[in-house]
Amino acid sequence: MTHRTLVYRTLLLWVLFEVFAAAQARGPSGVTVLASWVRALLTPPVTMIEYLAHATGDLVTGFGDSRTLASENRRLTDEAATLRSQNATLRTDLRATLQATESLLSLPVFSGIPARCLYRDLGRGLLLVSMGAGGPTIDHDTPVLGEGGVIGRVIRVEGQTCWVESLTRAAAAVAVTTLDGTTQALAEGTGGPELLIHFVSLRAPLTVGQELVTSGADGIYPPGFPVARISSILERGGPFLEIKARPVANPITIQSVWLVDDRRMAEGPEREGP
Amino acid sequence: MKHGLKIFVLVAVTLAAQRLLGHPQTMPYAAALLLPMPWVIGPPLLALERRWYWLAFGIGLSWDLLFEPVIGTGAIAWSAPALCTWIGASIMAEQRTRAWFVFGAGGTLVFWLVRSICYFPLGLPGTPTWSWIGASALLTGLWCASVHAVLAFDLPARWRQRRTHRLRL
Repeated sequence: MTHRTLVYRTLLLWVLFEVFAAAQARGPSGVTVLASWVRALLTPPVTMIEYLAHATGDLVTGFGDSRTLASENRRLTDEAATLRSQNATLRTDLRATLQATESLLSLPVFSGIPARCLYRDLGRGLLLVSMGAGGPTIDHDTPVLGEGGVIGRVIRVEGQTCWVESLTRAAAAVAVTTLDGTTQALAEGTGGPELLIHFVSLRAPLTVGQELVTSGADGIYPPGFPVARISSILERGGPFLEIKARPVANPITIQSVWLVDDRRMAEGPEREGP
Repeated sequence: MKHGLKIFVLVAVTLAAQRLLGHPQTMPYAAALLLPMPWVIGPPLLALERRWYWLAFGIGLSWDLLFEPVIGTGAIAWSAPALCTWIGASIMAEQRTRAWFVFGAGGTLVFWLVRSICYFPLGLPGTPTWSWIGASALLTGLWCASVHAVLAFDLPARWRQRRTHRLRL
């Protein structure tokens, strides 16, 4: 046996004897020294494992929270986009309403409900307008005013939306008169952009460009609202003049309208309209 | 009596004597003398077989049983001077009485040093003072030297020789 072997074996025995002695000796707390050694050896890895477990738990929780936050963020982003869209729509509506209001400054005082044009079918002469949530109920045949004058009348009500018959629709008619009230006539839609003015005598003092307003004789439209301007006057030998007129309110560019509330007009004019 | 049993009895007597050295009625520094030290440094200095090295562990365990609060530290402390002596004797090849004194005193220093080192992690009291260690080294070295002197004197051989002379007369 060489010295190196002897030293190795001795060192091994020393370690065993020291451990054996540590198993007998007790510290101040009454625990054996060997137990405190084992605890000192095991505490760092156990603590590290605990910290790792906590860190992993925190990581998982954080990942879940981040997913929740991302989902919430996405929802809020969509909601913000929706609100921006609604805001843009409301601003558009407000601008259109202001424009309509400004255009109605020249009209007689009336009580009306603002509505937004949702859909136009110029081929059939129909408009779909909406009064918005919480608006009052609208009756059939309610006159509709647009930019500069009469647009038409309500022919069907569907909740807060209603279909409006344009003056240019074929067979649509409105009783008109000149501003001075000397000439009475009937304006009829043609299905095109112009109106035919019927029952004007050959001696009527009309000129091209003259404005015709509602006379109120039809019982639907209140008197005094602009309807059309005369675009041509022809004499064909019949008892009446053949007159064509262009509507003052252009349904092509219309964005907002006013639904004239007859009941409120009967109670007295309120400055809700222009 | 067989050789192993004789060694066992002599070691036991040595430890019992060591116990007596610590008796309150003996001198204060009497217990500083480590009587079993010749058993530890003797075999390498006498160039005995290597198996005698493990005797130090037996002496150490017995020392633990008799003198220490825990078992194990004495075995380490007693095997340390044995290891040093086995290695040192193989290098120096010195077997005179002076060598016994040196190895005895040095082995005692190693004993107390290793014993203190073993006690340190266990938190056990009992580390001796430097004066105690010095006295222990000196006394133990002298003890080992005296043991070698007795061995070198070879009293049984001289006794037999004297008896032979007497018979011739």
